[in-house]
Amino acid sequence: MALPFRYNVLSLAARPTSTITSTLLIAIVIGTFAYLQAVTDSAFSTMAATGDPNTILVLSQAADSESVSRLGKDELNKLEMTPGVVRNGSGPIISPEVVAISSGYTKDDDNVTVNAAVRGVDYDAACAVRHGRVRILAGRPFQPGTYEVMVGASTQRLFRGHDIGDEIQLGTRGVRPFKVVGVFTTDGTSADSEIWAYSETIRDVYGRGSYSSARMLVPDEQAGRTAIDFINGPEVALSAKTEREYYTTLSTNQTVTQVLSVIMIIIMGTAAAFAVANTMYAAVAGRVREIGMLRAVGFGRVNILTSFVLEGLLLALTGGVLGCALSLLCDGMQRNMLPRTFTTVSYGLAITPKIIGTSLIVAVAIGLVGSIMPAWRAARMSVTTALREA
Amino acid sequence: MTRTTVLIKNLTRNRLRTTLTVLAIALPMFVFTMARTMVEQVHEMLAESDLKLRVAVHQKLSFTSPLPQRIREEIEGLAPEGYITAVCRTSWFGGRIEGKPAAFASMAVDRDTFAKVYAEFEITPAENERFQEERRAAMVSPELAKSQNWKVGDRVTLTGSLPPNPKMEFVIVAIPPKMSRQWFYFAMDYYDETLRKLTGSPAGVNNFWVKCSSPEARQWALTAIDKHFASSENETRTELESTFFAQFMKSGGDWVGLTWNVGRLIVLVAVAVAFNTMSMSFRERTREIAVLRTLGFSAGKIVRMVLSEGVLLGLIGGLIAVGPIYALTHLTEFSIPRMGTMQIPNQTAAIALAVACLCGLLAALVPALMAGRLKVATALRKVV
Amino acid sequence: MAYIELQGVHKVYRKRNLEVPVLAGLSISIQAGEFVALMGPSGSGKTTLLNLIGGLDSPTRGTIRVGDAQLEQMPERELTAWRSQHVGFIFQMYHLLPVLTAAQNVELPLLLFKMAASERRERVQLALSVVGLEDRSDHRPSQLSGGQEQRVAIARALVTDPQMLLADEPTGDLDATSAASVLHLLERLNSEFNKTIIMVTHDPKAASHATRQLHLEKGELFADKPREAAMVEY
Repeated sequence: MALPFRYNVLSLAARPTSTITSTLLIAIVIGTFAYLQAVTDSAFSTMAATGDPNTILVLSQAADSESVSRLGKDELNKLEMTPGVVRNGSGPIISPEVVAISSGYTKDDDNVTVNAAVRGVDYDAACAVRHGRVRILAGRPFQPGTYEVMVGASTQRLFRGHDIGDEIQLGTRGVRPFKVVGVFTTDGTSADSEIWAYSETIRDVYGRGSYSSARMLVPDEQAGRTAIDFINGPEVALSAKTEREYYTTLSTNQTVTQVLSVIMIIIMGTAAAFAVANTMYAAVAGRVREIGMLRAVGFGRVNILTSFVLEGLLLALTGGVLGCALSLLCDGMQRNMLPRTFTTVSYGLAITPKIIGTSLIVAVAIGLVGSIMPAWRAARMSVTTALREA
Repeated sequence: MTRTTVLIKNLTRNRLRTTLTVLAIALPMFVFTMARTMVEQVHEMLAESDLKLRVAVHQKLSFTSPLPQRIREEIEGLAPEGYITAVCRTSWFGGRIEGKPAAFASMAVDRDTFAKVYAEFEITPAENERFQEERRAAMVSPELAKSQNWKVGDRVTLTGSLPPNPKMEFVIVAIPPKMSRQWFYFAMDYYDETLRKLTGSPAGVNNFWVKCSSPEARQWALTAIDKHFASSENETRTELESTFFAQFMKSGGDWVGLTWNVGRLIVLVAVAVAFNTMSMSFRERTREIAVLRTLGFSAGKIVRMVLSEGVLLGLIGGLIAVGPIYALTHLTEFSIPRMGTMQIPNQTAAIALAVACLCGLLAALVPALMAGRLKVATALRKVV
Repeated sequence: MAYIELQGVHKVYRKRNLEVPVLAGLSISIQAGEFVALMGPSGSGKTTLLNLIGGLDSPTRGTIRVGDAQLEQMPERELTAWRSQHVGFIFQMYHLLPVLTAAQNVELPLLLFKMAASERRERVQLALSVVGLEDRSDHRPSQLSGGQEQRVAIARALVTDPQMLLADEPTGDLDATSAASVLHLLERLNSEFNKTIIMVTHDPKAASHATRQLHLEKGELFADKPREAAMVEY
């Protein structure tokens, strides 16, 4: 025979101050934890989402990022022979791209400069290798051969003076004004933090004789492996990866926040568990006579133990749910990260079901750790002393 | 016996609870202390770098777009007599050791001016002489030398991470004790020569670090250099060293700031824990407080007593949080990956203790007021 | 002039919207050096009367004078200070602080006075020797018997040398032997040290140690007898 759960709910309600305090405390801890998780996870998923498993990214041999890779015309020509890639009438669908850097001030702080990747592309090819994920939100695409750019949605949001009609400056060897004619999105991938313009124009103003990278489409993983092996092989001798693989390795600097959030949750979770323990010890001490009565009536030690542990869990879980609810407030908040390319990538925080799940598990762990000792003390009490005391 | 004795005795009443509470206060306060120390360290680094009177001159839009080497002479020629102490060019190399994926901070610098512009490294004349004489000379920070097990005289081969990814051999000529973090410096002329051989074009320069002789000279540099290069094909931007470094932190997700925000937020945890304890122990001691009132302890004294108990609780928690790490970082070389050696500043330790006491005070406020307002006759009658 | 003078004292408690009269126009005078037993059924207002005389509560109407102090006119702050010098309280449940030793419990009220530590120690020793517990000074309440605890509580009430001791059922929780020793102690304090004692009790045997018995019933004085008369009755 187990004790009714109602009994626990009522006991918690009978001590409103410490119940509310402990709940809020757990809510703060769990809310912070969910937030930190979102910071790391969302950064990672933004990068992972950018990378398409069916897009092959080709870089020069020793390059670990597009910003330090150089591909000449000859090398691009060799790629025409790549087996397994998607073709149209005239050959494989291939998008040679050149990546440079621009900088500007953030909208909210005069003194902070941020960098954006400037990507020179052939618009149609670039859209084709991105599976039509490029959508124009406002304005229109740039015209080939003109000093026009379209900016990613995140770039427009982060940078001052990057709205349609504004002029921005790009280039080395003489900086040129470019007109913003459109805003595009790629549904939350890192390309949203870029500026796109016509590839030949960008190569010209940045004084680049070569391209940075080339992208090609493959129908499936199998074909992808064939293509990658061919490109990495002696005939072409370039470095190819799936786009997903590339972007996942780029985001490695998120380990700092990852380690940070683990350390934080251990420290704060312990503190919260101690608080739960305090509350539960007081609950046990205040109910000694009640426990004696329950034991006298015939409830066993296990019943008492379970009942108090359940009470602690209920407390922690209420706090956990409240904490998750609080963390939803930061859902969609924008943060920046700086991958190895030195260009800022903005991303939106997402409180995912996975984060909620982990957070609730941590809350349960806090409740369990905090209530097991007090519950054990309650269960251990002998009936006679319990009845005599208090 | 004094009133303090009574106070301390009260804390020993429920030892388990006091211990749990004190630890639960100490944990978040520990995070607070560490977070603040990190922020302080970053601020100090930025503030210190401004004391060095250096400005960075780089390409207008990004330091990643290199400028030609000759700009150095132009800057030197531009300055009024005595304004500029020296100019040191830097080129990012990003060398990596064969077979190891991570590149570390390595740069080509001007042989002749490096020691002068980076005076804080306290490079000795003997070390500097060796840096001049050996073509492949490199200077590394003690931290890097230690992690790679390098000694003066060692030969090291690194591959650059920028195209055309040159593979270069270096000889370590000095490990200056004051050189910070994981830096590796070698001579610009050697880099330039290598690149010319490989590609036919010279090495580009990321930054021209201009060491000024006075704050006025620096003020001049901040505007005059950019004005000179405006609408030339090499437009520049000149900024304070601190501004230059701050961009990496801000745009990189600012995890120091993130830690600090979290560190401040979880002080609330300490307050909540202390409040929980104070209100529980007040409830259990209602009658005792009433007895003290009958003995002639005034309401004010009781309020002060409860408040002091809260402060004491916070203070002990604070001492546990700050004490050991303070001692550890002051008595030994304590370093954290990516942050370098760290030492809890006295001010931070004091602030953390003060915040801990304040937490206790805040937590005790409501219980103290309740204790002060207690109706003695009713409380004595109440069966607790 | 009487030491304690109550005139027309009313006390009404408010319970939500209900007015509950506890004392209804009580007038009593008590001389210095009297040992008064306050008797009556529960709810008759004994403890309320004790609290009023001790300045823990104030009357709804009427006047209470103790020595020179007109209690009903004094604000809370003054009452507190007055209490620490003129009144010693003794409770049924002793109410010692469990974390302090016997000596420290006795010392507690002295912390309110500017007094050298050595003088405090002397006074504590004296008070403990009066109650016959000088050899228990370092024991904690939990290491003492109920009778001993109550004697420590009496020592605490004595240590400031107040003129008046107010005891609320001091023997209510004690066995017969302990109760007897506590009552003898109170008797001695009254006769030897000339303390004015007012003791709430419903035990006639305990009351018989007093020099005067006041019986309350429904908030009014029901009977007022000197000890001799009381002795005859039982």
